[in-house]
Amino acid sequence: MDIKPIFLSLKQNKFMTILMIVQIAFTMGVLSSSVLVATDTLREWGMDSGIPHEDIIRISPEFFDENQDIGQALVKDIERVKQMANVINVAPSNAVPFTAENMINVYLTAEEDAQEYKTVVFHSDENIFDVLQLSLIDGRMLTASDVIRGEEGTTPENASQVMISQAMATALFGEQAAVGQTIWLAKSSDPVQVVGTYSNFMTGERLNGRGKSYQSIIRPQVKWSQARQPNYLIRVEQGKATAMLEDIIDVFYLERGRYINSSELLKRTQKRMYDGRGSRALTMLVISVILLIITGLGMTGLTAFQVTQKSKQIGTRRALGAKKSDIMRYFLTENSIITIIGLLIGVLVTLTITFELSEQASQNFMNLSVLLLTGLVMWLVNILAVWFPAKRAANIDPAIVTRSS
Amino acid sequence: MLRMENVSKIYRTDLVETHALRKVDLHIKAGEFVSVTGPSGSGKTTFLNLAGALETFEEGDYFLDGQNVKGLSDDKLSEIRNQKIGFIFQSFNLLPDLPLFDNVDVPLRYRGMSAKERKERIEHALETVGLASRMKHLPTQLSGGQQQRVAIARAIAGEPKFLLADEPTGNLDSLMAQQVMELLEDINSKGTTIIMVTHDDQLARRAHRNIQIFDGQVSDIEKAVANDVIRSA
Repeated sequence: MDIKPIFLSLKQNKFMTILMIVQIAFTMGVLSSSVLVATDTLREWGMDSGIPHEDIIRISPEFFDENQDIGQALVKDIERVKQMANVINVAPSNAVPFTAENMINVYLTAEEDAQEYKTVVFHSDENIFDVLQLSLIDGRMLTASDVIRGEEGTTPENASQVMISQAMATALFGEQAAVGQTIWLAKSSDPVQVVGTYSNFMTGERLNGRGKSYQSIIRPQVKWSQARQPNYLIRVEQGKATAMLEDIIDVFYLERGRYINSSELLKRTQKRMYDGRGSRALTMLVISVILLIITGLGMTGLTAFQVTQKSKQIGTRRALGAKKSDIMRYFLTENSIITIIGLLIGVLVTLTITFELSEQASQNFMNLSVLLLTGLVMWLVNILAVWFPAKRAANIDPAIVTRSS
Repeated sequence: MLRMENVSKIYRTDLVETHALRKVDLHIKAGEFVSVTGPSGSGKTTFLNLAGALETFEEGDYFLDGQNVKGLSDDKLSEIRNQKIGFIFQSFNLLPDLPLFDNVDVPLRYRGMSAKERKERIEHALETVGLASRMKHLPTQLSGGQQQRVAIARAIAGEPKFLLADEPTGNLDSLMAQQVMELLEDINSKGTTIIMVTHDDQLARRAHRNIQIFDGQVSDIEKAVANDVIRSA
């Protein structure tokens, strides 16, 4: 079919044409951006946690009685838990996998303009490797003698040696060996030496969102204060965690002057993380689908309006020899031209939005095949939206031309 | 050229049946200029619709250029309209979004002609009606008479067997009507058969032959005169 007459007609109806193009471009921009972010979010669902999270319990007690000795309670808690049947190991930790939110920047040099690397630092003791079942990749494991313990304020020194995850090592040093290197845990200060690398485990959503889920550092120190009391990570025999949770909570309540702020299986922590993520992705997709339906209905409405407006012109075309299929093709081609122009502008909108989002999240959301697929779906939806009014147009009686208007 | 045998058209609703045309027998020869008159509601428009293959009918046979159009598919009827008939309407029915060139182009595109051939035909048709210099103008930039001339150009560009004109001067003042009528007569003199529906008795009398329709029935009152005209032409 020749598209010249269609272009001429669109040119004469600029306002309507531009309106439809803008609507399609806007929908394409929002829809594809949402789909890109949603697919990226959902893609990480299948990621390995790196730990036996079904067999690990986290307990977060909190002293309300300021006269209690937190350090002493820490020792007693660990003793009591270790004595329980089916408990394999326990470690205090300032952060919990899947919910570690205390993201910091680390640096390879002490210079002011040193490059930033995002990570989460777990403060724990030598048992964390056994609890989380992390394996040694390179260098040496941290031992009890590396661990610094004490109350914040009265224990000013910090551990000067750390282990970093394999992903962290790759991010910082690439192919080079990480062991023996020095990194700075704050800008121009707090230098530490890397003594070993361990297998990856998932930290939390803040790093997940940046595609850096596995970048972590373990610093062998256990410090506490009234404001910051350690969590406990407890690994039990396989399949026993659910049954043991209540007994473990009871053990922690043996200590006076505190309550259990949070207690759950890490399996549950992980599910919570994914549920939140799923809800976000779902909300975005639902909004996008609603927008797509609105655009489709808008397209149906505008085309139906045009068909009514131009019924005599359509009848004239029919009288002059247009077949029903010619009329259908006319409207579908006209719609496709508008849709394709709208989609091309929509792609530019999408690139702008995803560029901004990617900049903010330090993560590349762009995925060409998802973008193309979204465009294709929009085109099909628009074809469907125009199909029925076009069908109505094709059925206009050619004899309409001899009726007085 | 055009032969109707016993053609009837009945419009049916749930409650009533309206006999718009009753057993019409009619023969129009190639090269004739026939006017069709009759009061409002007599069946003129129905006759026009059937003659132009714009509507189907239930009874009788209608031979157009030797082909019986009864029972043909919608696509086939479209082809016949496109290739054998040129339409001229009272309200011109030009497509307002398209320049004159593209308006004349409409039926030619449906015929699937090459761009070169279409261009030649359009230019020739617009020259014939005296509007070649304005082919890039939109219909709204023309007077009524000029618009009707464009419609005539569109009708003749495809060199159809016959023209079907529905009150072609109905919306024009007398001067414009005169010009359009002369143009039609000129086209007819070159061999194109013309059937013109009109209210204007003066115009009707300028045709070779006048057919009157009353209550759906055709009376061919000037047949003898028409035959003389054809013979002498």
